[in-house]
Amino acid sequence: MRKVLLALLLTAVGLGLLLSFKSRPATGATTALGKSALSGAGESAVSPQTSPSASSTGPAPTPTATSAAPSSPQSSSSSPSSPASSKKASSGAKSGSFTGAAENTEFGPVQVEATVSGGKLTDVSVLQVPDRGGYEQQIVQIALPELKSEALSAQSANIDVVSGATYTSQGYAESLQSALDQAGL
Amino acid sequence: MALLRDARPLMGTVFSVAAPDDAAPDDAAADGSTSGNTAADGVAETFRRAWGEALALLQRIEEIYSPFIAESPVSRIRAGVLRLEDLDAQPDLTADEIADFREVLGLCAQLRRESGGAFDAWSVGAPPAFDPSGAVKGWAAERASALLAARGLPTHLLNAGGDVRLRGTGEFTWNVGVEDPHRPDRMLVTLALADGAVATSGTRQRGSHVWDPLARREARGLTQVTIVGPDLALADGYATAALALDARARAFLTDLGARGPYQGFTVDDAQGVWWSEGFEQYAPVLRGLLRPDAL
Repeated sequence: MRKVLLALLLTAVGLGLLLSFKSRPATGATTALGKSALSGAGESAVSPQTSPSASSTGPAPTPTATSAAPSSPQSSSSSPSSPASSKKASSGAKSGSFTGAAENTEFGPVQVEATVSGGKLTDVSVLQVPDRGGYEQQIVQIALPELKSEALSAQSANIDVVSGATYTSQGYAESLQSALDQAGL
Repeated sequence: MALLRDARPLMGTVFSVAAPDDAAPDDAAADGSTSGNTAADGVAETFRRAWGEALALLQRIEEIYSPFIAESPVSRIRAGVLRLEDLDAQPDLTADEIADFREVLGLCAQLRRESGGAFDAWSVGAPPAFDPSGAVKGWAAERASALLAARGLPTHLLNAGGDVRLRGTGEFTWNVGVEDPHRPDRMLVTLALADGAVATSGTRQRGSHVWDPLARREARGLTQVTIVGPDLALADGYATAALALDARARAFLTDLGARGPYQGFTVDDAQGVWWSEGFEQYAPVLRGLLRPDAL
């Protein structure tokens, strides 16, 4: 019974949140992109990151034509509605997928891939995370999506910053920075 | 208006900063910290310099207070080789840093008193040891934010691993998303405030990592606590304390909200979401909803 109440309450809050988003006027061209990227992130964030992909072995940039990176089937399948995922941007900024350097953390190597379209970060997928059994794996899976949402929401006109429980994220931030450096962002 | 942003790993997490790129450079120029380029260049330069100084401050605070650095004063206290009475005689601390250390000890004592012992920096872990980390991060961010304001960034936000200090002079409102602990990429509620602090403690990001000294175990039950108020050091401490109080958190936050400016929002897997009455002033979306009972 209490779980039902929780679900109802969360739904009510979530609905109110959605409505408040909708009633807010878009203040910039990045709004639609940011929101679609965030909603695309919704599904992929909860999917478990399994084994490191083939492209995770080297820090070299691996730009691809589209941002639907084949190295992360979860994220590519989860964002079919994103307008960014099927377009090549023709502006001066680079587009494509950029693999960050594998950063060593106290728990092991962390490596991410940033997807950039039209000069905007549209997705971040994790190529490599420390595998130290259930506990650490669980933590990593929870912590990384938070950073991803912050990285993406930084471009959203609606939310300036995310308040959430503390994450340990050094490797993620550094790998993402190196990927963004390659993308020229 | 766009935001200038930067982020650095510090204290086991990430500190990030943002400031409007069109902040009035006149304020900054008044203390001589900018040279007269174009306005945008001036703002970017002010941002770069102020953030550089704030990072240096934060790095120094980490050196002093980290229990993970073997020779830090906090580690020496934990190891029993430095007694608090001997703080004044430490060659690796300046007079100002010793005064700051006493301020942190005072903050820890205040939080222990106000939380009825739920937050106790002198009784962390098993066996119990001195660890002010639960108070230091918020305090450090509060200090760094004050420094950023003093160095020409009167409007900025500083995010210390999910605990956020927002500053402004009134003409600008920050939108702060409070993370849904069950779907970390989504926002549970969005807060709007021009100046203040938003701190969130949770049990999920590092597992159950808040120590409950009363029950002598790691806290569990409440999933997440968010505190809004004027000072990040206290907001962070209250969030940590409420999480440790678990079933007593609502009573604690009700009392806290009634006697002062700190308001709370909690997520409990068993009991659902709850917020103190005053929290609604920051979260318009909650105003139309029936507020759950405190008990």
